[in-house]
Amino acid sequence: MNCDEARTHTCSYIKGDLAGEAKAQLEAHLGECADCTRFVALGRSTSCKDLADFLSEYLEGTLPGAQRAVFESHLAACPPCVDYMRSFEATIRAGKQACSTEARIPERLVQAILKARKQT
Amino acid sequence: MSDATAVSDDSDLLARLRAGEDEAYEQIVRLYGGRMFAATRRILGSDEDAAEAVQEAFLSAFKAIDRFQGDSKVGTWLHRIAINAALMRLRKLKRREGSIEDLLPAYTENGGFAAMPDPWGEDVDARLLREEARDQVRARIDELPENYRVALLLRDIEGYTNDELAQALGVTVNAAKIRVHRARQALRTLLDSYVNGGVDA
Repeated sequence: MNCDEARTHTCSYIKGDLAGEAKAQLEAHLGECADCTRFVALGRSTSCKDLADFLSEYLEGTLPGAQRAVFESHLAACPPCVDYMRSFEATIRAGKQACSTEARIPERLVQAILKARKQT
Repeated sequence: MSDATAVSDDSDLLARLRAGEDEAYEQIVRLYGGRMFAATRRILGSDEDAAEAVQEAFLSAFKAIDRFQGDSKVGTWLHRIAINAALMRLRKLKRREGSIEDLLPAYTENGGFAAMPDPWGEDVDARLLREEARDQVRARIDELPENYRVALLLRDIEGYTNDELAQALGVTVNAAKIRVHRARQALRTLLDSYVNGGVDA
């Protein structure tokens, strides 16, 4: 197993969902690859919940550097979190788009305001 | 329009307002009233309440026109007054507050997603931009519990910073951030059934 192959399995490995031959091959690779071992350790140090809880801060760029690096390692190892992040970003854009319509002020409100001004 | 133009337009307009020129008053009501009405209607959920908030905002702004410092644009200043009027009105209405918990993701003991999030697809922006989808998005925003709906509207639609939001809601900056974040997560959950519900099929 090479590093690229290894990293497609790290997400399920960290969650304890990897079994059998794939798990044995990944563990063999981790035994001889310090980079991938570090990658798994970083992935373990944060959970999908951590990522989801701090996603606004991550996207707004207000997370401290160290935490940001941990998040990025987790994202690189966890396709479901990437899906979640993309749909979360799309949600924010959709809200903005849905509320961007220009509205006209009702004519009778204009008249009511101008009349009330004269009376005060 | 450049900022310089906006400022010179504003100072001309301000001079005419301060001189009590009727046309200038009508002009700012027509120029900024539509946006103020749309924003207050989103917050309050009814045309009638929005109209009252906008009228209240204009009248208090007219009274304060001599004290307006010009450190923001007149339109921005008016808009903030209208939103504050809407928030005050909302507090008086004391609507029932729903729970957000059911709309947040569920997790396993290890902090993994209990249900894997479905991908939304590359074309989701285009799909959600269509008129009928925009109606759906607005309807989902209206379904959010009130505190969360208002936080999302002010932060994402009205462009408030986290600090400004905290001030408007009377909560700490951290509480404001958490509220917006949960509102976005809840809206994502509400939209997920629409995006992945085969609506386009």
